Amino acid sequence: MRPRWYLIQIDMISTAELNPQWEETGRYVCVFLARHPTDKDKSSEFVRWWPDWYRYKACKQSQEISYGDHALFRPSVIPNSGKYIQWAEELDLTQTGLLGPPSTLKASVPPTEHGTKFVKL
Amino acid sequence: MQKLDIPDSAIRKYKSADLYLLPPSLFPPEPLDMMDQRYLNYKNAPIVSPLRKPLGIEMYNEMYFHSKPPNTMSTTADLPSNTIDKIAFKVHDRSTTFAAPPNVTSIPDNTSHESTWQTPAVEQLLEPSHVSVIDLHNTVNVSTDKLFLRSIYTSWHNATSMVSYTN
Repeated sequence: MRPRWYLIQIDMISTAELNPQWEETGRYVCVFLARHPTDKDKSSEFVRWWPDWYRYKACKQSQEISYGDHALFRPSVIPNSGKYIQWAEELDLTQTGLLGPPSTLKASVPPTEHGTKFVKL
Repeated sequence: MQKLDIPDSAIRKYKSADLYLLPPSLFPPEPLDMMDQRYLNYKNAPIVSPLRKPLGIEMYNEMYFHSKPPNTMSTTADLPSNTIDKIAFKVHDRSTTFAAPPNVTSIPDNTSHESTWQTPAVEQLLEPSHVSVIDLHNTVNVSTDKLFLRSIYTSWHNATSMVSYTN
């Protein structure tokens, strides 16, 4: 199995809420960004990196979330939280496999504030 | 176009491209707007060439690809004419070894524009290593857009136990 590289954006507000000990543990809540589907033929530095939204359904009993199709929203749009969810994960960034900040890439997303103020550059 | 043996036959008009006599395998690099090309990827059957029957063209392979190919050995063509050509005809030396990629011991700081050209991001993707918590925290604080590259081994879109949140 070969590793794949993903462009992530650290969500400091969510990190402080979910993992107050992030300074000791090195675990941050990271939001994954995806390239715009119409920019597949462009190189990475010229790609628009948009937040990765998906449809989801939550089980009423176990509250387990099952993800559905990919949904494309502008970075400034916050979709309905009852239908759409953004891919994020709490990652241990002290482990191998972290590089950055990538100065050659320009995300369409500003410094994340729990995904509430996305502004297209 | 009219049949030669029937003077009163119907006169048919064809475009010059339709009268292209060479087989499709001998098309020019930029194909003409021929019948087969015109109806390519369509449900219509290709139109039979109007010259195939009058000219007795049965199979292009027999006409253009003879069983005994002509002798193409030439004493002048495709032969080296100078020293550069002789060097180019030699077997390439593949024994050249490349230097090992440099190990990245800390998160590189590429926030300035000048360092972008000195340390391109492509070279930094070779050997990532462990990062201390203090260095990581400082790098995250310095970063304005909080963007990083992360390598993950898991099958990302098949993961089901992923921590996630909604707004």
